[in-house]
Amino acid sequence: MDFKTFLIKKVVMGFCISITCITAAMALIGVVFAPDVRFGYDAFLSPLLFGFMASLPGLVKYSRKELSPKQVLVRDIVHVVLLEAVVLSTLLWAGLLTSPAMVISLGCAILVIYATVKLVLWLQDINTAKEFNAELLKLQANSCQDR
Amino acid sequence: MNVQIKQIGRKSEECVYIECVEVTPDIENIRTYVLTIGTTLSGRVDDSFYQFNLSEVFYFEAVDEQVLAYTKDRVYELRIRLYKLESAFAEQFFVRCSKSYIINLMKLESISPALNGRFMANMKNGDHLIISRQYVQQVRLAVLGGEPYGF
Repeated sequence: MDFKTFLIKKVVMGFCISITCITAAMALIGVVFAPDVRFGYDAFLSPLLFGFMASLPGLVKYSRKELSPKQVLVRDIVHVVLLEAVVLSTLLWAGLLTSPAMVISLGCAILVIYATVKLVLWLQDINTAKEFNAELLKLQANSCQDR
Repeated sequence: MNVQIKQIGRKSEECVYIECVEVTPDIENIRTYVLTIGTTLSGRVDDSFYQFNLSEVFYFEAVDEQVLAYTKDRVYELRIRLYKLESAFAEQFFVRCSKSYIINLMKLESISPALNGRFMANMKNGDHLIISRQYVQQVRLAVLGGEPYGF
């Protein structure tokens, strides 16, 4: 995959998904915890800013060559570390995190969500592989080759 | 099914005719088998050229300007582009699994997950090749058939 395709397919897509999720989260949390608070138009900029910051670490996953599973694992670890650093430092800079407990709990939450997503995808891939292997055996049994 | 074999002269081209009421999956298999078994390739090992059968090939690998064909005992060097092999042998269970590899599905032991939506092709000769995300769907369709989504 060339860099342009990677940028459009992965980074921009991640940016759009982040904006949607951040906006939804802001709306839900606001309705539950601070229903009386009102914002100006500048509030629309924060999902854009956080979405942009959250999608930047995704650039470390780019590679022209096909990466080995080990290399992918290393890049995933670098990605999550950068993601934590970018999100937490942006929130600290914006003054939204006021105590070390908040920083630690948010950091842990990001890590748990990241690991959960990876685990779900991995389990899904295991099922796909099982289904594929069963069909492959049938195909090979039905074929005249290797008899 | 009635089978007839007719001997022909050395100068004539060998040919298999199938007379059937309907082209069933079994008939397609026989066709594919005949195509595969009848296909020989010519490849170089060191400075000598050898003929080998397509069905012996585990996978093809593109390295720089050349293509390597991996069989059980030998690695042959071919003077052909990978995309040409891909289109020529698509009907004979050969499928592209990444930018540099075409695998023989008949020599594929299994696949296993390999992070980030990719899979590992575990070949019967013990080699492991990455099925990149771009080609996962293609490999899936070659085995499972059906609708072009999922995986």
